[in-house]
Amino acid sequence: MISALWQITFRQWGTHRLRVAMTTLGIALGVAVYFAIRTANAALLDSLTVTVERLAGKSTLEVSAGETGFPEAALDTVRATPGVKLAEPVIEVIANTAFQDEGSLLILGVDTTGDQQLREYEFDRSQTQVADPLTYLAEANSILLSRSFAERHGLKIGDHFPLFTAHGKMSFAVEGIFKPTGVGEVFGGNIAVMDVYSAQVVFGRGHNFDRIDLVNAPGVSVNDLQKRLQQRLPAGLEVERPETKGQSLENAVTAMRLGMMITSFIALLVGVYIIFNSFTIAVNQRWKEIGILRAVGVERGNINAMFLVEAMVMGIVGSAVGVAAGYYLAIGASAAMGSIAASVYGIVSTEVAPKLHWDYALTAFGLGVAASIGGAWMPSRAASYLNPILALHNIEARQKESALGWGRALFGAALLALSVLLIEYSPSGVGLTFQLSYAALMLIGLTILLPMLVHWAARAVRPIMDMVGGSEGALAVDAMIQSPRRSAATVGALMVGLMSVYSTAAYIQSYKQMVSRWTTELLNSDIVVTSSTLLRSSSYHFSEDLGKKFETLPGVREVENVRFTLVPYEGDSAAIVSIEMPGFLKRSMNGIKGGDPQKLWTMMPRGEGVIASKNFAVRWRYKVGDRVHLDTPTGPLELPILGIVEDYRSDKGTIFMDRAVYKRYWNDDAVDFIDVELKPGQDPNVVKREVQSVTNGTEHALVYTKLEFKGWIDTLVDKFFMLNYMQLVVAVIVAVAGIANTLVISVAERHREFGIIRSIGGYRAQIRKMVLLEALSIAVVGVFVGAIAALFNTEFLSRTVSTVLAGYDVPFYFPWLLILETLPAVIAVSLLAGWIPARHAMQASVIEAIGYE
Amino acid sequence: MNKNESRFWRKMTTASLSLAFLLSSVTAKAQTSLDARNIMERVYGQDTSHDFTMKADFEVYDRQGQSTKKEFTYMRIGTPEDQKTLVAFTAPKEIRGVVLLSINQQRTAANQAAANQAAANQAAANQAAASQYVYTPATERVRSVVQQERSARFIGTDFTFEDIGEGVLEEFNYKRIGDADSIDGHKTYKIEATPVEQGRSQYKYIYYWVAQDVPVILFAEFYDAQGHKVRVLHATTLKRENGVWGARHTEMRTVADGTRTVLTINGVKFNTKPDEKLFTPQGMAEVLGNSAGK
Repeated sequence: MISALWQITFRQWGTHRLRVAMTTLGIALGVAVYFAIRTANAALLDSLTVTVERLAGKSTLEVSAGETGFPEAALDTVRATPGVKLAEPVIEVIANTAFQDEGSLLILGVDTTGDQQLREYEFDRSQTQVADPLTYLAEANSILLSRSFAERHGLKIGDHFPLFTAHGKMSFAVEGIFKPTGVGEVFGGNIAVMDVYSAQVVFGRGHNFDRIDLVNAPGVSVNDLQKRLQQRLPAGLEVERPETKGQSLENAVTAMRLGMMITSFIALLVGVYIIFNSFTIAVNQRWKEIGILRAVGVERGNINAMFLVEAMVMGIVGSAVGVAAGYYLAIGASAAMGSIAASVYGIVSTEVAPKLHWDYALTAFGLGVAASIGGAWMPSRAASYLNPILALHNIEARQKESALGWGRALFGAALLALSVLLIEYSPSGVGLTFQLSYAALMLIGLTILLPMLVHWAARAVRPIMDMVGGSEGALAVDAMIQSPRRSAATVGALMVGLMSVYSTAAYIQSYKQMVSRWTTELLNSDIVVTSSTLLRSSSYHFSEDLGKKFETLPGVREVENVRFTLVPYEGDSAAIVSIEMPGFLKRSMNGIKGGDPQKLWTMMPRGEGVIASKNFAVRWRYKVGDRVHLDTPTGPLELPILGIVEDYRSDKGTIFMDRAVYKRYWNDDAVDFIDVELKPGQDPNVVKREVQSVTNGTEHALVYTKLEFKGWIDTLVDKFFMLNYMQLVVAVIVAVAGIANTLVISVAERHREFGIIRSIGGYRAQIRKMVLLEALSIAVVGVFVGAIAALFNTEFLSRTVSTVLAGYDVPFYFPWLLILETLPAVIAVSLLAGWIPARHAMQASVIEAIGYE
Repeated sequence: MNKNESRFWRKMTTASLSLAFLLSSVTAKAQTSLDARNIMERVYGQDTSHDFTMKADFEVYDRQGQSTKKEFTYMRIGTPEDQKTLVAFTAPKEIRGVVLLSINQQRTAANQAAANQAAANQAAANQAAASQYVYTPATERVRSVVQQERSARFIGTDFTFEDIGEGVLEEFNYKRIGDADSIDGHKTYKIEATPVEQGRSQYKYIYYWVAQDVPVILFAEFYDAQGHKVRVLHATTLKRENGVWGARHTEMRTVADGTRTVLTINGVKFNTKPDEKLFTPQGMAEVLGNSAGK
């Protein structure tokens, strides 16, 4: 029996090659995106691991204290600890070159007299290791370059090149060139090595190290040594295995990885819609055939199996193609993710080609097949339950579809309501998987409701289409109304894409508004000078001398030095903003909530308290009056929270404290921002030019007026959301593919209908117009349901996702204007997607079309 | 400490000690009846002075013949059992002010055994050899320094750490293989030196030509583990100072690279009693000012 049914299926495939091809392609696209993103994610993690390994060399443990570094006396303690075979200090700096392209260079400050035992440097064989080791040690501006960087910039031993340091622009002498292996492969080969003590001087690290890399002695276990060191070192210093650092880096890019995974699931979801759509049409096309099969005694189960096996075979082929294509897609995705990790998160990584992970391939393959079967499940079931008597009537006498039943609609609405309740009221600590299920519930609910939504929307649009498009317009909408299941599938693909576009845009807009309020309340200096094109640089800083130079300018009233860094906190990390408090309080008092202003004024400048950001307070369940305990490199520090502010510079939460306290406990006087307040009546643009005249050519400093700074923050937000924009592109591509696929299938399904219209005198142009108007109707209805779906999804993003990823919720804002603005674009894309099917329908032979069935 | 490695800066500071070896005090009269070890013992004889100061320079020539010169002052106080040495670079300006300090306490059998036992522990190893420091004026820092391979080049010259290092006499077996060659007008003994233990030296064997009339190595050829000649040494301008003979010009040539380094000793003083505070990590920053006038 199965064999006979398979022959029927095979014959159908031969007849409807285009439908089969488009359906298989739909699966392939979903699987490819899913597999590519998983593979690219793995490649990014491999890259981070390789970077950590290369930078750590053979060290088995690392001593560090977040980004702030720690006093170098710790090195003596580490070296004096029994079980330490070798311990070497490290400073890591990403320095800006003063080349035209303003590229950056990862500088590893190490003690090269001993460090080659820990790390692998291969010096150019044509040179003699370091050209002159004595000069290399003696001159603070001596540097060893990786060959790739040297070649890119035409540098050779003895040459000089400019770098921005804590003391302004300095010329560095190339004392050696090493091969791009080992450490040289990190950061795309843009790596240099210099003496650790010279690095301290030129990059303003005082007598601090960023890290100590160490190796345990034979016979001493790493765990034992780790415990021993933790007992001997101050609590603010962390002793970790290098691989743990890799985990920390992974955590830093969690948001990006999660975002990409969500994108890949969207692609798979659209794949399911395409399958659902395709099989719904297949069942419609084969209505009569199914009726005959049932009439001659073929059981329901066999009919069901026939469609499911067909779906499975398509799934197998599509998934295989998807895995193959996904592997190549992963190369591009991997490069994009590496770029985002570098530019948004400031993470140094090494280029690692994506590997073929068989487990991912099998998972993607399995998901593709399962999605195919899942997508075909409902249409197959519908086919198997078909009434043979009704089915044997002409195709126009199809039984009414049950997709519009009220029971079904209530069930969909219930799921949607449940998801909204969970988004609004569920606690934040229930776990990411559970929280993502809110979105799944929402999508399932919307999918179930979709035929009804499409039906209502199409009925609403019909009079307009009738008026605008004439009889062809009415017929086009009728085609949608008469086949709600197929129309729902088409609109569903569009809905998912547009929902993604609208809700992401809404989220970004909401975020920007929130950030705008933040900059008004807290970041409101007349002029801001920053050390990085990103929100901050973890390794490049100004010295306090620069601020002193600004103070001498005639238009300047006051200067505040700001340090913004990450420190270890409760097994994770927290941001610290240290600033000269009197000036900060004067500017920002209105933004501080929940504290006693008198206490803030008196205690904060004396370093007797901290101000916590809202996300820090929420994350660690603090309120005003609670005490925050910090383990600093010089000992414990415990201070009360005197106020709460909204601050969005770190998803880990931020603690504000007086700069003097920070300097004392962290032994760090580096500066990341300089806030400049002007004397009354001064023109900010004039003073900005004066500030620039101090920094130009000597400092890698970006100078902004208040207004420009706001714009710059907006640009940073855009950079942060670059990933989301990429997701939008994927969503749009998949949605367009869905529309094209659906229209191709729709045209194929209505082949006979078009033939009949032609046979009764309809023009070819009318057929084309009908198809195009149907595409237009789909677009309009798609925008409508996409907007509805986006309402729910925006709430999910701004509350659940935002809280999970950043620790705070984002005020809800919905982009009505954007929806109206995108309508013409969506219509244009739909018409474009419908053009080929329309031409296909127009050119079909009447005789052939009438005899189609 | 691994015997195949020597302390980087200890070797560095003892570089000139080896130069002093070249000036080593022996009787001027040649004794042709000596065996190979006796001959080498006379070359490496002990300097009995309390302290020793010299001014010297390295001139390093690359394969194109272009040269760079490093001038330095070397100071030693104490006996070989309790010896402190300083090397203060005076020119060119890039390295002016760099000072190297080595505080050597010759190990007794007992503390050597203890150090070996604790070799795996950096704390103990540091304690046993935490006596090499470098001061760099650019960073105004004194820091302790760590090991280097014996085959590594010494501050970019053609000398390796092994070539200029201490303990050469005990680490080799010597065989007299000729006395017919004449170099720069001096009749010589040709001596073959082979390492006592394989792996303790970068060289498979070394040929020395020692002057018969004065206890100075005039010429040497160094052969690597594959038996290829890698370096050639040539000492000239012999002088006697305070009863000590030595070469004032010593050229080391690296065969494969075509590079060479000339060590020139410009002045030698014995028993000037320098300030002992200079021979401490805290006093290193003051060395140049003090030594400049000597």
